[in-house]
Amino acid sequence: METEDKSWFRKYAPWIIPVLIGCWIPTIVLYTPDYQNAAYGMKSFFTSTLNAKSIGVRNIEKQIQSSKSNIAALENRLNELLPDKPYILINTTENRFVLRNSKDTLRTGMCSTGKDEILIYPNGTRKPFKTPKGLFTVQLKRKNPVWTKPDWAFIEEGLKPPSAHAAERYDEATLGAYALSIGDGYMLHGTLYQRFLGLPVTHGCVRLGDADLEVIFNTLDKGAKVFIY
Amino acid sequence: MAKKYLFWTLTTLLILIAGYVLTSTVILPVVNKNPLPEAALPSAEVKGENNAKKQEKGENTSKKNEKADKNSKKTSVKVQSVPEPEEAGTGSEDDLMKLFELKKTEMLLRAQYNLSSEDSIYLVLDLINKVATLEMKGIPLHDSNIKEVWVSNSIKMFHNEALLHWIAQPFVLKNAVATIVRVPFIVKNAPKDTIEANKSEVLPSARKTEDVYIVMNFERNLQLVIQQSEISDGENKMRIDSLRNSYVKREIDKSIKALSTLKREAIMPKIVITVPKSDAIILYRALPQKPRMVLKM
Repeated sequence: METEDKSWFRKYAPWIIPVLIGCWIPTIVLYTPDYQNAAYGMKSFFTSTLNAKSIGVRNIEKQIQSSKSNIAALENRLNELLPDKPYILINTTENRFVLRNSKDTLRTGMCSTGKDEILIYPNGTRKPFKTPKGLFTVQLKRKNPVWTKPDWAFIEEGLKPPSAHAAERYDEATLGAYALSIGDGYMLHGTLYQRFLGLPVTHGCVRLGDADLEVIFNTLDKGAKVFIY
Repeated sequence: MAKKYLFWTLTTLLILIAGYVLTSTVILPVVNKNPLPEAALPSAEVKGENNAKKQEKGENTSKKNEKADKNSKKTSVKVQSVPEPEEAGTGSEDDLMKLFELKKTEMLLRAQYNLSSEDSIYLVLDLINKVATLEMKGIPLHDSNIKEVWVSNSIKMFHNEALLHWIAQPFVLKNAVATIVRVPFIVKNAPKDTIEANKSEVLPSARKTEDVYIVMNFERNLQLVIQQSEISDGENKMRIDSLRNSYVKREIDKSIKALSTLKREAIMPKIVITVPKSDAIILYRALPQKPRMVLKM
C-alpha cells in the first residue's frame, strides 16, 4: 500500500506546479487586455496613425485658424501683464537684484537679504529675521532716512530696549542715503557694511550698495513693483 | 516517454506564457514606466479607451467639445477641449498634428494666463526649450537652464488627446521631499549683555548647502525630480540615492501587490530635470508650500 502511494506521488508530483501555473495564468491573461488598455495606455502605442476620420475632426483648417488667433490673443494678454513702469526683482537665495523696465534689464548687482535666523528674546518671544517673498510695491521714498530702531535691535546687542521715543532709537547713519519702504516695516536701503553685500545678513530688509541704491531710488517710482523670491 | 515529452512541452509553454504575462503586465511597465495614469483621462476618454468603436465615432466627446468651445469664449479662461469630432471629416495626419500642437500651445498659454491672476510664485517648466522659469503675475522672475531632461516613457506614449487633457491645467504640488530644507532657519538666543553679544558676533559667510535632490509629487499622478548637475559624493550621495531608490521601491511594491490583486495601481510618470545646484536651490526655496506648475512639452 505504501509503495503504491509513493509511486502515485512520483507520477503526479511534477504536474502540480505546472497545473497551478496553468490555472493562474489564464486568469491574468484574460485580464491583461483590459488592464493594459485602461491602465497602461497600450492602446496609444498601437494607434500610431492619426487621421481625421479615425478621430472625426471636422473643419480642421478653420480650427487651426481659430487656434492661431487664440494663441496670438493670449500672447498679447500675457505681454500686457508686464509692468509699464520699471520694477525690481530680488533673489534672496543668491542675494542679487535685477532692475528692469518691461523686458529690458537696466541694472544688476549684489544685495543683502534676510539671514534666516530666529532670535529668542529673554522672555521667550521668537523673532524671525527673514525677507518676505512675493509681490510688494514701493510705498514711500525717503532721502537721508532716519531709522527708528525697534526692540530687537537692542535685544540682539544685549541691551534693554529704551522707551518708545528715546533718543537712542533714532539712527541717521545705518540706512544710507536713500530708503524705499515696501510695507510692514521692510525697506530697500543702503548699508554701512558694503563688504557684506551678496551675503544673507539682514533682519529682513534688502540692503544695497551706494551706487546701486541711487540708481534704484531714481528709477523706481512710488507704486513700482518689487518682486522678492 | 510520450508523457515525458508532453510534460516538458506543457511546462515550457506555461513558463513562457507566465514569463510573457509577468513581463507585459508587471516588469515592462516598471522598466519602461509606460502606464497611462488614469487620473489623466477624463471619464469620457477612459470609456473611449475601453471601447474602440465608441472612440472612432467620437460620440461621447462631441457634446463635451461644443460646451468647451462655448466656455472658451467667456472671459474667464477655461480649458478648451480637443478638436471637434464628427461622423465624417477630412485632414491629413500632418494637419492633425499641427492642430494638436496649436491646441497644446493654446491650452498652456491659457493655463499660464490663469495662473498670472494669482498672488503666488509658480513654475513654468518648458521641456521644449529646456528652461524652468519662476513666474509671478506673468512676470518671469528667474530662468534656469535645464542641462538634462529625462521623461518617463509613459508620458512619451500618451495619446495626443490624453496628453492635451493631462497638461491643459496647471499641476498642483501634493508633497515634496528634498535633501535641503525649504527655509534654513538658525535659532539663536538673545545675549544677556553687550559682552556676550560681542563674543557671539561672528563674521557672516556664504552658507554651504548640502547637495540638492528634490522630489515633487504633483496632482494628476506626476512626479518631478529636480537634481543638481554637480556630482555629489559621500554622505550626500547616499541620501540622494535613498530618495532616488524610494521611487523604484514603491513601483516594485505596487507590482508585487498586483500579482495577488490582479490590479496594478498606475505608475507615476516621472520627469527628471538636471540644473545647476544654485538654480535647484532657488527653484525649491522660492516656490510656496503648494505651488502650481505649467508643464510645456
